[in-house]
Amino acid sequence: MLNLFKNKKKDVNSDVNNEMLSNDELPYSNEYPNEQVMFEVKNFNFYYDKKSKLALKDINLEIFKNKVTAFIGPSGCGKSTLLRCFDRMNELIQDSSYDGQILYKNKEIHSFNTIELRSKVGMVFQQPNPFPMSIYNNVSYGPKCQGLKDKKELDKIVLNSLKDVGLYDEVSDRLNISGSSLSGGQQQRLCIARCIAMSPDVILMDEPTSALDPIATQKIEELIKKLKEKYTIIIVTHNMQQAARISDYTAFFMLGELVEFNKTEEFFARPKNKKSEDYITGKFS
Amino acid sequence: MSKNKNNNKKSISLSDIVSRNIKNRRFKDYFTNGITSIFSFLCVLILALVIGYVLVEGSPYLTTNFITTNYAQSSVTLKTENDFVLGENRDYSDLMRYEDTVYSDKWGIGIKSKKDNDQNDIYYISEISVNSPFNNEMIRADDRTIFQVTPDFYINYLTVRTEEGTYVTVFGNDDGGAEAIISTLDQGIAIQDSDFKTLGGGIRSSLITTVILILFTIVFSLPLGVGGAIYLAYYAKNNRLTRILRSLVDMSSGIPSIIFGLVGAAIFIPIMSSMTGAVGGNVITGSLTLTLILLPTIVKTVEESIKAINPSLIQGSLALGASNFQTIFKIIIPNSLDGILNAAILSIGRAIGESAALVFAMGTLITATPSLTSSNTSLAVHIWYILSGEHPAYGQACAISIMILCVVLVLSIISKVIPILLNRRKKKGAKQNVKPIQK
Ligand SMILES: Nc1ncnc2c1ncn2[C@@H]1O[C@H](COP(=O)(O)OP(=O)(O)OP(=O)(O)O)[C@@H](O)[C@H]1O
Ligand SMILES: [Mg+2]
Repeated sequence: MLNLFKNKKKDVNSDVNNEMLSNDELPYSNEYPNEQVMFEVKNFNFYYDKKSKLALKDINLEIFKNKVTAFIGPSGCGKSTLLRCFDRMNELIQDSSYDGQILYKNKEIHSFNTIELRSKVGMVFQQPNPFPMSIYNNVSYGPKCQGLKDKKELDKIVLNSLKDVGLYDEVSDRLNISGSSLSGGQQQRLCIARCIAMSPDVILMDEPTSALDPIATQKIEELIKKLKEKYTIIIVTHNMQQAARISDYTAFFMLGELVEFNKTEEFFARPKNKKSEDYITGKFS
Repeated sequence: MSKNKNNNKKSISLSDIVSRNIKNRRFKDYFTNGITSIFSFLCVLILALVIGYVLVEGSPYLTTNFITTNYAQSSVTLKTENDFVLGENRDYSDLMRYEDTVYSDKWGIGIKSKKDNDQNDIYYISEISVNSPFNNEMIRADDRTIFQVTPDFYINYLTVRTEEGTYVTVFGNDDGGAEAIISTLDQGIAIQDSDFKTLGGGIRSSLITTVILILFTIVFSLPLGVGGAIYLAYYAKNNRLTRILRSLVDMSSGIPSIIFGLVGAAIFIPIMSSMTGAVGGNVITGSLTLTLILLPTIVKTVEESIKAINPSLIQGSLALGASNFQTIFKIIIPNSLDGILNAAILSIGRAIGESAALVFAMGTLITATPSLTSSNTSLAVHIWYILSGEHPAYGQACAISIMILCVVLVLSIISKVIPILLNRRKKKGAKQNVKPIQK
């Protein structure tokens, strides 16, 4: 059962005034000295069903600023679970729990409250889920929830977000038609625009193209390549070609464990791990 | 060969059995079909009989009078102070002359007949000249204040004093009708005694009370019910306590309403009277009791429609940094509008139809003025009241029933139309007044 409003772990010290690091001040990675660390996952375990099901085992991982990181691996290996940990959406699931740490900008994610965290870490779902309201209201939903009321400012945000995802030219004259009357690919781009409207640091994408046809998929892939200039992107995908095409780093998971993390070219050209090699060469899926 | 024959024989007999069976089965089919059609026909017949009876019995009573007058009669006793030399010295030329009205040129009035709520003929003064004694020279017998007779009052009796000093009385239900009344009046020079009454037996205050009851019931029950549904659907942990709560909610929809009425009367009436000093039941305690009765149904109806919302919409909203509160008001409530409206319709229907619980919780005293702090009756309790007397007024009860049935019919039509309308709105796209933004 989905317990949509439970954030069971209390925000540890959310009353401590949170001075977030600006994106330039982020620490550099030890392993990849050129990269700045946006997320750092440390000894992270995640359980479903009152600790009876271990979904993630001792994950250690860094997510780098303005890079696309792809999560790949066989079905049920825990890619989505880890992705949902970054914006604490997992805590809505009853009887789930975790131990270990995830640092966002060098701070434990539980030191932010969920509203603050989720306005900085956006999420795009597998199935396009535009709200049953107008395109304009879909895109302005997030900023409005944060209390932005100025019509001109909202107009600007909507305009820019729609332009960024390349939807503006397609819908500029019908911003008040319902979001759900768009095509699947357009809907997914609308959902990305909705995310961008919050000007987040990170965009989490869970198989964003799996419900789309090849042309719509290609559009989204191009969009992702463009978006990484401004945003840090984590994308879960089943499609290895897609991971190879659009990502800078690839993390390969199996049975809840991180098997290999590497630069994407390295990973596909010279996998360090036997299991990765088998997976890439299609020995299992 | 012989085997073959045998086989043949067997197959023939088999097909025989089959065909016999088919006949048999067909007969059974006819039988069950026949029974079902007879029963459904009976059901429809009974329904038609009930509605037909109500319509036939009630429709003559369903008049504007019936709806606009109060149940209780008020009466006034009037007389004139002076003697009059009437006729020549008064100018009654302002009287309009209608054909169905009988006029007295001596008194300057016109008398007309109409039906009261029991379908009897009654007579009232429909026309009064400005110069008529009835205009501003009639005084109340008790406090001697001037009383203006209006068409709302009908004539119970009139006693006039003649020039010879004798008294002549005519009753409003005299066989001679308006002519008899006028001819009696014209013999007199003064009105010694008279009694005027307003029509009674109407449902005006019960009708108003019903509307108030509906409003209060919705105001109390909808927010509570929607809140409860959201709590059960999204906040409550799926543990034993929640399950017990849920089955209690389910169970309580089977409790007879009269028990709720009892509880409502025992709890709400003392609380109300300690707060406002009101004695006995009233509309507020009635609607609170109805809220008790309705909550389980509302919670269930709304929860069903909340559960039908695609959870990814709610997740999408939360993932955008919306708070729970914003998600409830921007996503959950707009998307479960059909359930909420249905719950509202259920509430209205129940508030109109419920009588047993309200007899205790609201009272049975039909008053002239609807009030929040004293006993009043809804239409259903009104029926209960007028049927429980020595002379049950079936006609009026049927007339009220027609009104209730009409409302119920309209409500069920609305509840059918709502999903269609909501769907159409969704298809059209939530049309909000959003102007396209300039480049
Ligand atoms: N809500 C849940 N309750 C219990 N177990 C769950 C829940 N969600 C996922 N799991 C389990 O956790 C494991 C990881 O699931 P997850 O959805 O993260 O896999 P995934 O890698 O995203 O798979 P896919 O590629 O099929 O989407 C699976 O074994 C799954 O059965
Ligand atoms: Mg998944």
